[in-house]
Amino acid sequence: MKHKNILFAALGDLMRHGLRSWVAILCLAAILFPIVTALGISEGLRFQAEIAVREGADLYVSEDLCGGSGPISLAHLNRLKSLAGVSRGAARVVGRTYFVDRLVAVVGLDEKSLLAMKPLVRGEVPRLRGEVLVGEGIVKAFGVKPGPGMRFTLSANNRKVFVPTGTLVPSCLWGSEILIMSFEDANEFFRMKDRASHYLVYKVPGSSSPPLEALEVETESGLLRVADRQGLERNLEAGYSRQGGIFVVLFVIGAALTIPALVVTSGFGLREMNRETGILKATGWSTRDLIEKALVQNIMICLAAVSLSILLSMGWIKGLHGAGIAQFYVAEIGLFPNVEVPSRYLPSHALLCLAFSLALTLSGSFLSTWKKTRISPSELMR
Amino acid sequence: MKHPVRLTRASQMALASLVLLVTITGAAIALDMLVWKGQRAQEIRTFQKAVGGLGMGAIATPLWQFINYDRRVLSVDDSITWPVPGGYSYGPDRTGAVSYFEEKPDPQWTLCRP
Repeated sequence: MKHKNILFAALGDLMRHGLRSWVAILCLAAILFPIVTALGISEGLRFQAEIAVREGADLYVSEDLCGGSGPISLAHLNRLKSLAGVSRGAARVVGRTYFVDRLVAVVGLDEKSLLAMKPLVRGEVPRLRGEVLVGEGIVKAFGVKPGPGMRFTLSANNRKVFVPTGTLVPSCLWGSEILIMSFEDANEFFRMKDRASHYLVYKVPGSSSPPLEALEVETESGLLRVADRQGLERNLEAGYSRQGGIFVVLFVIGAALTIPALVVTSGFGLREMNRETGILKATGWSTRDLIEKALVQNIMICLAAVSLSILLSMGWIKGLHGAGIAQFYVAEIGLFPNVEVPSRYLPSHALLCLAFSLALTLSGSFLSTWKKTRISPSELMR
Repeated sequence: MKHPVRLTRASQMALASLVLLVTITGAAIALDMLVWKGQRAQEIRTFQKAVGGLGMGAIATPLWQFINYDRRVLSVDDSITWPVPGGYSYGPDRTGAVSYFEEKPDPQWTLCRP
């Protein structure tokens, strides 16, 4: 009965000071919104990137080019395939180009890989030379309609004609601004005859002998650079570390915005609140009851603020594709993205925001409530 | 504290709205998690398996250097070798706020002191 009374009294207080409650909720929601959005997008991208690493090759082999990764000669391919513990090897070309005025990735794949795309393609997968798959971002930006009549030519070589045969259904961020074609076409596009960007080496499942050591022997003759999956996984974890710079910026902004929230929630300058506290004390409320009431009030304010910020973030990022704000989190996606911005919201995000907002508001209201309990009721009611 | 506090109609509505808001948020998060685990994850797997793994960082296109787009394509950050006043890379790739990929140090030289 006592706790129920405290809950009702706290709610009654919030309703009586409706403006103060709304200011506190909206202030907190404004602080939490960028944090929730950053967490959601970070988690969405991390989820996609983890799959990209898990489903990719075990080893990526390229040649060393002045200290960096350079194209690898196709002459190495058969030797790499025949190494112990290797189940499959494939050559791939990855590069970039400007499609009209838009920077896009170009990927050249072998026939087997192109056919594996079938479930994600609206239209047909490329089967002949000169046929390309177009990412959803390009389709929407330039109104490309795959099929007869539509074709692209290269400004550097207008005899080379590309025909879009299908649109790639956007499954992840990196599948939207992309042109996918046959390995040979990509090879010709980047003018690297008999070379690939890198070889994808797949190990025999459960193989206890990783071919990494064997590849290191190869480096004596070819000077190869090898990236393995374990290293990529470690790098991915570090790359998405939540201690990254932007979170520092967001928390600084958050801390700055909390000042009005703290002032409002602590009841600074509200003589009416002092009188109410005096009346409650005079009618038998203990210090513990008053502090519990402040706690309940803050929990209700924080719950409303966290819920509003999450729903607003979800609506903005998922419904409006993050119009106006997505560029802040994901580079080169544009001010008004025409592809879905990956965002994944977890219960831990809500709990983190709740803890963060409670810490902020309670630090203000606990102190002021405790101070009031030290003053006599008659003084408070004056 | 002995007498029960009665809620006004407005307070009852406010409490019900708060409970509803929290419930909707919980349901939205649960639904989002289900969507990511289901069809969406399968589509990502199909794409990534076909291309052999593409994309790692918070950038839609490989601008300037590849390391933030996908360090498998280029593991070195060549932008840091450019002469930028102040010594910091202003590569637009760095504007992706939720990820940051650094070049992994690869010791290739051994220092032999006299």
